[in-house]
Amino acid sequence: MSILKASIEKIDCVETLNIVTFVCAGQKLQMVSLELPTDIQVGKKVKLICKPTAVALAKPTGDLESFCAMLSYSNQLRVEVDTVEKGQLLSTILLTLGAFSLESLTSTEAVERLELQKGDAVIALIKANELSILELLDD
Amino acid sequence: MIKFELSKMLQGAKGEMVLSVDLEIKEGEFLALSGVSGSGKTTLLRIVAGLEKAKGTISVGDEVWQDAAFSLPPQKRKIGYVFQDYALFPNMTVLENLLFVNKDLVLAERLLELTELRDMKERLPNSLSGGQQQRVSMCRAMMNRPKLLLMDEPLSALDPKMRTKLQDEILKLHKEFGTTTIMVSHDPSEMYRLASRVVVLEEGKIISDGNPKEVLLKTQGSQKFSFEGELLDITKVDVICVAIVSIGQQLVEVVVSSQEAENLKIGQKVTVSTKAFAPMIV
Repeated sequence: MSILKASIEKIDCVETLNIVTFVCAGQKLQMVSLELPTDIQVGKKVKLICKPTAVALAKPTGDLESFCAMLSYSNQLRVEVDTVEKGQLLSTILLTLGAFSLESLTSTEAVERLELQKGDAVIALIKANELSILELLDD
Repeated sequence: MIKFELSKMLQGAKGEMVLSVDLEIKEGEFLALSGVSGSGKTTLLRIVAGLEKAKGTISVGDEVWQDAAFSLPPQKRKIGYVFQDYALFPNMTVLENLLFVNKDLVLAERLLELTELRDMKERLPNSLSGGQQQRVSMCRAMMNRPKLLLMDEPLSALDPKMRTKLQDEILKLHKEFGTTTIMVSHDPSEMYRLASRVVVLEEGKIISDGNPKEVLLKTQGSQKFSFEGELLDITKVDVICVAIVSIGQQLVEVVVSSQEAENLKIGQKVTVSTKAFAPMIV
């Protein structure tokens, strides 16, 4: 399980539907959600949570900006590979995002295709519906 | 091996129904008997205990308890019976309740030790909590070293915490004595923890029989996280729709596309499911 601390930068709302924009370690994250608790407001700090099964990885070779511009993922985080634990079929990759750790569960075949190893700069891709607020932080 | 081949005409919720059960239970097996109210579970236990008459045969190991010509009286059948409402003698102490069944003081002390009731053996039942009374009733059921232990929703009157504690005690007793057990239960977590086999009755017939995971895990295709519910409402928001579904005692919201929503009708029974990879436990 990955837990990130982030501050709320923007909330876009249509009736009961919301898209919340956060900043975490200098990078933008977005979450789509139904009704939000009333204490979730711009400027507040929260813990975000994401299932490792929802984190995909990309290792672009060319220009990063133009690569990212072509993808619909709301969350495209520039992260570094910390550890790779290869299973027979599935692998767990721990990624570093600033002071936080992000976990990705993906197929071992993909890990080998991308030749992922410690220190690699990769993009973590997460759809906005896969990100949720775990709790509001006090400060 | 314990074998039943039993049938009996019953007055069910929807009129007459035939309870017809053909079951073989291995020695030492812990069988959970499940099914909606009125499916015949308690009647089956009562027939096995000899408290109710039915057609058919019951054999326990090499003893015949019932056949076409003969029915062993209840007090001669080596069974222990645990009821939901404890059924203890109110004017006897805990220890006397146990010794009433069988004057085996060594066994009584051992049972009270196992269920942490030793300090309460001189108390009267009404000075004990519900959980403690049910433990006494379980000990009493073990006093004649039954070949078959029958439990009819033994924990359903207790709060969840006490229930978990008593499940541990039931497991402890089952491990210690290896008594073949049939327990009526409605609680999937209880059946999963205790039973090695789950049999589901519906309208007097066995509709499902297997290990707890096979029988209890609700699946929909390859989706392992699945719940039955009732669709209460659908609201369109922006381009998506939000469905409200009642599952058990809870309401949940599920986002569906407009296209998915077209096939849904308010009030219909639905299955809410996702793959085992998606849900989070926090």
